[in-house]
Amino acid sequence: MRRPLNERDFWLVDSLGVPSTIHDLSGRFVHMNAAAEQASGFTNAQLRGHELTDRLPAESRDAVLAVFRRAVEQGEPTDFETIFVDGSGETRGARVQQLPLRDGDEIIGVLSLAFGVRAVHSGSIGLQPLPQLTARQHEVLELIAAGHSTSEIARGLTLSTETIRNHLRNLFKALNAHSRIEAIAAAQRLGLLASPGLGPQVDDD
Amino acid sequence: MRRALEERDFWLVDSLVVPAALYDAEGYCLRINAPAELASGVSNAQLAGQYVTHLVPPEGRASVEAQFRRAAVDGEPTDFETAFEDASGRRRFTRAQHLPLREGDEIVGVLILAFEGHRPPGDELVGLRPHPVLTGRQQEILELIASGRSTAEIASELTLSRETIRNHLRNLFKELRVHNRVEAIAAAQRLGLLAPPVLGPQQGEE
Repeated sequence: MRRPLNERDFWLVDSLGVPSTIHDLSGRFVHMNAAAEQASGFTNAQLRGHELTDRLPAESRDAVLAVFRRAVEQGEPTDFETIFVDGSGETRGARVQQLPLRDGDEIIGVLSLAFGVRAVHSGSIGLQPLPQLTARQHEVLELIAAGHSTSEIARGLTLSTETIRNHLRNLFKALNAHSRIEAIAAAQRLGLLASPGLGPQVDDD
Repeated sequence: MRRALEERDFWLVDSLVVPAALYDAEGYCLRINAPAELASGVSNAQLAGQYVTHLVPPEGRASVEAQFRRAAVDGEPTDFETAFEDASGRRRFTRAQHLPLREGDEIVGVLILAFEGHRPPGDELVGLRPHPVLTGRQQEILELIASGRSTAEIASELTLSRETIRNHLRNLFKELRVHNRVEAIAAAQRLGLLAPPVLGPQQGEE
């Protein structure tokens, strides 16, 4: 049987300096810390039991829910940008990280951390429908984000530079971007560059 | 008096799916969770009491220590890449986040989360070189290029000429030892220069 989230889970959250909230599997607020109360303008008591998307503008709800489900169903950390409406009615941008919590093999909830957004490109924040990338496009995206050149990527994947250029063209199209920089920035906002948790030690290759 | 981190602080760390560790404010390990044991090949019992740079290769220790202090002393969350050696002696790249823990105004410890890092171009060890020092303007421009803006957009936003922006970019690239914007963003991320700031209090009326 799944254990409920309880006080013991809240203890460390209350010590975190960054705004943090805990959500159950359906996304409802279970707890928020003082930093999150200050950032949102809502108290823990006001938000407890409310849906994850209650304070989100209508246009970004579906996308945020989709990302949340990925954290819950796949047990993967997520990292994306969104907008929310604070207690005074102001719309603000935030970068959000969702970290799945588990008990044994079961996911029991999500710890969500909120950060500020460095530079907001007007109209660029908030989640558009998530573009569908092929596995290869995703691989190429991560390699350009790590700073690799077309020829380095071609060598690494043992493909021709022309093939990589084709992948890049399709990737840009899917992300509605015109350059690598725009593609990386868009992918980060959309949560496509969230780093997976560090995996187990590998012994030999 | 500063409260000591204790058993009940470990509960959430143990529930996290990602590798996580709890350190005291001086940089000594109090707890690592099971995913962190799996990732490092080192058990909680072996790592408890060890300094934060314990698994970091010698050339990377100063930079990891500096990142830790930014969290433990200045109270800023950090986000950077480094290398460590797992129990089998293999060097692995990881992205680490250091999140300060507070009790009132005092920092009582740091929660560390570990994610997969990217092997850098040319296998150059990430985050292990001396930390570049950027001017306020260079940092500002770095953040603007990371958000996808063009030189012309940056110039109009900062009300400077394009030539001035190009000069700033040249100096920024030199400081980061890179040749273009994409490399600059990747390097800045590894070095923790693009760590997201804390989301501040509600703005209220202006």
